[in-house]
Amino acid sequence: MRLHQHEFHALGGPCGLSFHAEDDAAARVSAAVEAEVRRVERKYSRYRDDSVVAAINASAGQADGVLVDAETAALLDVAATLHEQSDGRFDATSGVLREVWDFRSGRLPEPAAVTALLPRIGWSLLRRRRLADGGEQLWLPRPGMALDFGGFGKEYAADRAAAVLRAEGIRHGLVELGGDISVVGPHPDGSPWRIGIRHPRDPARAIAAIDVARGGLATSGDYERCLIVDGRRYGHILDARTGWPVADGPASLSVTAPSCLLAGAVCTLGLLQGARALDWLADCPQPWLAVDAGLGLHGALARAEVA
Amino acid sequence: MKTASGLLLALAPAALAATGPAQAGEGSVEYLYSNYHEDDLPASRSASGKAAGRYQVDSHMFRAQQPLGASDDLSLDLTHERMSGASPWYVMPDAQGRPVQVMSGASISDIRNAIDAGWRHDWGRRGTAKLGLGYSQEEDYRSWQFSLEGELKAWDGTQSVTAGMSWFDDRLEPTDGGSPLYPGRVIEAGKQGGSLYAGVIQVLTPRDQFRLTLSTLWQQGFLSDPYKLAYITGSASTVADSRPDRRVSGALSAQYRHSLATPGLALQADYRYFQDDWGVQAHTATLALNRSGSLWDWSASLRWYSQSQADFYAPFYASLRGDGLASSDYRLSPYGALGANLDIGRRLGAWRLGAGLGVYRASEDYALGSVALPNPGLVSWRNGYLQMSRQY
Amino acid sequence: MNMMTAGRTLTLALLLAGSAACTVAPVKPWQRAHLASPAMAWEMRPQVASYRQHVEVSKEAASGGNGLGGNACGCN
Repeated sequence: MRLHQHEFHALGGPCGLSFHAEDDAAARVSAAVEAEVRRVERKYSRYRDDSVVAAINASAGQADGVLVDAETAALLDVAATLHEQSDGRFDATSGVLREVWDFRSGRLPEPAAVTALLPRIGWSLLRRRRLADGGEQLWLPRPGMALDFGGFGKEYAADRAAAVLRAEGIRHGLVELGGDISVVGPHPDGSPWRIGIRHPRDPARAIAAIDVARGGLATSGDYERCLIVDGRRYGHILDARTGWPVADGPASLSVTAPSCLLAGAVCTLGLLQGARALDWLADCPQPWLAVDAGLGLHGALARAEVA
Repeated sequence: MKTASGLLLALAPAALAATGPAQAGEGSVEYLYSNYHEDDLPASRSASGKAAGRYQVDSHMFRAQQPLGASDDLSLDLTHERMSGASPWYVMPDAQGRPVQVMSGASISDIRNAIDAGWRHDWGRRGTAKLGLGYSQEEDYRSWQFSLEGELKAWDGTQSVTAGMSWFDDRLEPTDGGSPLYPGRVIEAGKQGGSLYAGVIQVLTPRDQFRLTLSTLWQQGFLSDPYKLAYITGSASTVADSRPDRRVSGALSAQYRHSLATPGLALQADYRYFQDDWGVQAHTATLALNRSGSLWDWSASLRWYSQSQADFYAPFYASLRGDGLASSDYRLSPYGALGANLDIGRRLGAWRLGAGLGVYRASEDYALGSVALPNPGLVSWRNGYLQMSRQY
Repeated sequence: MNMMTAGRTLTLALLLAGSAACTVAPVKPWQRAHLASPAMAWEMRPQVASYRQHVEVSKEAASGGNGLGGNACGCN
């Protein structure tokens, strides 16, 4: 049994898996994991006409709503909880802001343009009716409303991919989708996977290393997509209540948790707290690492040194 | 104010539903050591006029749980107990006619080993089922037990129905049975029986839930205590403890849990009514405060218990009853009891260390009704335990 | 109260529970924080509870209530 690695491109970025297995099983395992990532991507992609998200968004403003299955209902529950726990800062209907926010252009949007979009954002406007089979009937009441699971979709896909790894019998391995990692188990000798956290201002360097034996690790920062205008940095995490980026938050935040979905939730909602992030994270029972604007390290994971 | 820990608590059920159990292959092991010590029988209640030591038990319990696949769970419980000390033998009147306790002279020293295995299957939103098999062995006693339990959930998660059944088969071979010293003591006997229960769990609000359970137990065979006697004043002699060879009982319990302002602090209120066909009626009420934090957890609880006597019970008898039944066992006498328990635990990474103390005092003063002639053998005890567990 | 009235009491309680279910709103996903907390569990420390229940059943006449008891023993 030796270490195998498989790289592929999905969910808008590089993806990889590393796992210990017999040589004759490796190819089958890689194919199964990649297939699951692509399944989730196809099902919830906002770019595809045949995705569940496209069907949901096409029904916006219509009286009959749309029927969704149990998997989608579970994701809606996650989105509902994130919305409630963030006091509305996180909103799965805030994707429409992409129409005015273009992080590649280097230009800020007009404030009026942002304000004009706000009526189309409102998770609390959604109506959901549970069905006996675990699915739901869903209504997006206003035309132009759109749902997307981009806020935690990658973390979800990472956990689903890890579940496939486990189902294939792998006990030592991990899946990495962008910066979101779901670990099945440590190396065969029990040693954890050592994961470097990207330096927020230097993509070539790691600012810290985190040891993960199992569970999820999610990282997010203001460097992923941002605009720097007049010396001010505008990160890609937008407060759904205002339509503008959160200000004065950490440069990056990494969280470990029993699943990547849980880790990503703390990570996203933590960054949405802006200046209050460290206070909000104070009682977090899961280990985290925050890098502040001055590149100081905070959190239980800050004790780890870069090897 | 919302915080990160609140988010994790709120999200855990939704995340579980979305991605399944985060860690397949996650198990746990627990070890509990407990010391149970009964207070001495006071001289004023002792037939010998001297205080007498009572029972003491040291228990070692080991539990391991291991998931098997995505929806199954195996559990194993191993128990090793060392019991020593004297226990009540019979009650007789003293010179003033008040009941006093005669203790068994010999200090019993016995070991009990038990093993229980369980297999649980989880159907996710629909419910769970568990199969159990147990075996317990002492020098003079062995017991087999089989059980099957299930829980069915309503799909919106606010209501579920539980039910279970068990069956047991016990065999005893009392020490010195039929010996010259104890010619009346049974040599070998058995008892069998079963139980059934059914219950409803209802979530009332996001902070309240309620559980109502009805259970029944029936036993048949040798139900007397082979080591106890009853005293007949008329002939100044003793007869062997003799109880009916059947016993049917039922209990109705209501349990309530209320989550206080912050998640992690809850109020517990339980009540149980018990009745059997020997005439015993009992009430049990428990009030507790439970706290569960990310590092520390603790509980403080108070328990009140009250029972009426079995029809055929008496501290001693003027003459043998027509039906031949007789028992001076305090456990069939009328009395009440108050108990208190304190638990504390601390998490250290994957480990958890726990400790607890308990006290209990049985007395006629705590009984619901008035007790004309309290049994002198009513017991008080203290208990302390240490526990450690590890998650995988 | 004999077994018959006990049975009627449970039926009434179950009916009450059933009718309560019709008016009780389903719990929202984010509201499960309280219910999911270990402090709200029916049994927070199962191994300790199992031990305590064994002591109670050995030292008192009553038994049963919620779930099944553990192994019997010749406890005095």
